[in-house]
Amino acid sequence: MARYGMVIDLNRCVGCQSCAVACKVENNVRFSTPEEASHGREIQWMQVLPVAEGEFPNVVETFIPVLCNHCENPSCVPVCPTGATYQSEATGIIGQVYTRCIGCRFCAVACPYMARYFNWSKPHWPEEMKARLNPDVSTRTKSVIEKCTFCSHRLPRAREQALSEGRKLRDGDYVTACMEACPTRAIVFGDLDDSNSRVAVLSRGHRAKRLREELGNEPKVFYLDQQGGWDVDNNDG
Amino acid sequence: MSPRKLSSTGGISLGAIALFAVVTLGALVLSASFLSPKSDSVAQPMRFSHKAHFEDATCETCHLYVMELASAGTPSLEDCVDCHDNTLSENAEDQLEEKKLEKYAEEDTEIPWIHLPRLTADIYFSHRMHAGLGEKPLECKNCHGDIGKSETLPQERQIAFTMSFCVDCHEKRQASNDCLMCHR
Repeated sequence: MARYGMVIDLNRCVGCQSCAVACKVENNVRFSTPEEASHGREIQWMQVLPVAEGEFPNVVETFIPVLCNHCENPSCVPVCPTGATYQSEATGIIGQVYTRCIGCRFCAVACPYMARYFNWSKPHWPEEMKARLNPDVSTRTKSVIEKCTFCSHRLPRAREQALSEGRKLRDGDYVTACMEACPTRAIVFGDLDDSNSRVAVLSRGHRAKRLREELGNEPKVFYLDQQGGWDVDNNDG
Repeated sequence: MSPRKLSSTGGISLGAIALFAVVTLGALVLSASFLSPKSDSVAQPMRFSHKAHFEDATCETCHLYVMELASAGTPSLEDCVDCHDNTLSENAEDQLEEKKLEKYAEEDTEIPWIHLPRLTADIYFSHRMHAGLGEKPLECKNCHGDIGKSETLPQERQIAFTMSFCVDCHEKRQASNDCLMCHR
């Protein structure tokens, strides 16, 4: 049994948006028109939110990559009437089975991190992109909810590879697209239950904090605080 | 008066019932003929006998990647020609089919086999994981039935790939039934 989680070092994040782009490409996340975006209907499983602190000329800009927190006590799972979203016992990942989703959007309302997105219209991509959609990830239909899955489609392949080499899954075998793409290595992903994994070590450090901890959702995405700290409640993130 | 009146009403209602029955039956027959798949719905470009091939080869001989990749692979024209080097069978019927193969080879066009419906696009299935790895790998016939004994290409799958078929086997073999292991 594993419990996958992520650590994001805010000292390292330079806000380049590589993670956001890699996520979109890896997971066949639809493109949005300016009109859809103006209605708040843009879909971004991974968003990089800029936070400016202080006054000019003493301004510190922080970037906070925000994604589904894959909570230990998720708010979205108990409200799903069809079981389309569930917490995996084997991985701790909050899964979303699109073919089971009826689009009631209860989960999107329940999620305190606003990490769930509804397909208000039929997903569309630029013509040139249609031939290069990732075949390992199904494209969604209109009227279903989607969200970050911690690139769970990569897990069966990683397991297969480990099995073929006659060994168990190692730290680093299964990683997310955002972690791979991060040029400053701000994102670390792995098994939190494996006490020797990098993610477990970092998540135990004194700089590790989680978003809206007071809610008790026990998110599995940890943020390594900047020196001096930042207060999430005082910004739009 | 009253018995006659009664009988006439009875006659009308009987007629109405009969008419209703005829219309309903007709509608049912029509819809069934539209909805049910026709027996000759999969018209393959040529005859292919798994049985005949199975005498000299194994599944892996033609489905090259079954042990190494997620997809088992359909043999390409090149794979067919590797063995069929213009030698003809004794059987006249077989010769006819082999000549078709020669024609495809001369024209250098792949044989346009028609595939039976496969798993839906949201399912991840790996032949390698099921047949090539682990302590107790499955045999092809566990899912594909007696395809190795068939004289012609089948019109439908011998074992339907329903979710319950997969889940039952996973339970029996204590494999993961986590949704995300198959649904992607």
